[in-house]
Amino acid sequence: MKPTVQGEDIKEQELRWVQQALAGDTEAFVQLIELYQRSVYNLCYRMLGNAEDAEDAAQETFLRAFHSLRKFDQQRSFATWLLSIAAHHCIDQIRKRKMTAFSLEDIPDLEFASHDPLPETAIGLREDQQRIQQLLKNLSETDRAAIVLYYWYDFSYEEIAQSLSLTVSAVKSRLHRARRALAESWLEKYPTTFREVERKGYESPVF
Amino acid sequence: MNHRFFEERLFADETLSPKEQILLEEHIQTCERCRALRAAWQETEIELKLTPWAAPQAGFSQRWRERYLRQTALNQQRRALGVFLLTSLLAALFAFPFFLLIASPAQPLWLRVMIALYNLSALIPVVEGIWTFLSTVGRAMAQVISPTLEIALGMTFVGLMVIWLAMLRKFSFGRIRTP
Repeated sequence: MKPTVQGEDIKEQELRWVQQALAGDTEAFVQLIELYQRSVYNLCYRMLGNAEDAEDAAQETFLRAFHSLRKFDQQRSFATWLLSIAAHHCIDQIRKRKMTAFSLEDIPDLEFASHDPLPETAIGLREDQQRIQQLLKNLSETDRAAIVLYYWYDFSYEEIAQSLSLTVSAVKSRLHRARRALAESWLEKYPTTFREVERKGYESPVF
Repeated sequence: MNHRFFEERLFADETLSPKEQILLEEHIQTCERCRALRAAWQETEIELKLTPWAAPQAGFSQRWRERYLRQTALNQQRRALGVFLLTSLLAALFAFPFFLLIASPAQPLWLRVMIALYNLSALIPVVEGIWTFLSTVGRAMAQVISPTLEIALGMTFVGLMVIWLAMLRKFSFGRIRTP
């Protein structure tokens, strides 16, 4: 199950940490990092495609959040605000890569930064990660962010719109376009899977 | 309803009406492209929903602490450098009219006293020499160049000063990122 931060207690505690951090308590902010490091890292990993860049972007996200904490509206969700910073930072990074004619294809094998006890589990997970990253890298940076926020974080259209500074209709249209692009990439990369599905679904059982 | 209409519906979030659903199914039976896209999207969606979250290596918050301290120290160093450069600029701006007076032929007594104090420093004669050279060149040029060019040069100088101050603000007083 995907981890989410819920519950009034956590939200109250979170607000207390925000207020303490605003008063200059870095250790209170570290508590917020402990709480959200995985969410932020996962977003950065999905956006950038490798562990090293994801780590750097996640660290930078928390630094930016710490320096901009005064701008955080305490009526809003801290997680949404934080992920918005992470998404914008990753989008900027991808644009910079494009400016320097650097693509995800230039990155060596994608890494998986989890701590799996069994090697076979790790290999299976790595394959999953690679397959999904191969599909995601064909999307534009903003479409990719919209897909990640929608499918991994269960964000609503409104939350995605708020996080990516888009309108709700733009989010819908981007998600629609991204789904089509993902399906087309899947067809290109795994045409045999489709044939198997088609054969199972439509061939006569006699043959 | 054409192919495009049905293809659009394959990726829409909105729930289709029962009638639309039947029409879509009928279309899919006859359209290989839509059938392939639907199967591909179903596979992709499962993959998106089942792919586990990536997690950072242990010690993430400790690495953040170190990065934060590094950045804070670097910011302080840059600020100190900024203050030094700004002070140097102000000192240079203050010295400019002063040296202009030194170079003038009629020097009042108080100025001569000031020059004498300056001469106590070993560096002053050097600076004075440079200034004398520059002011001589400047005076010679003033006789040659037109007032319009003089104004243009003045404006260029002011522009360069503005750029210098902007760069100073950006690199010495702005927030910096650590590698």
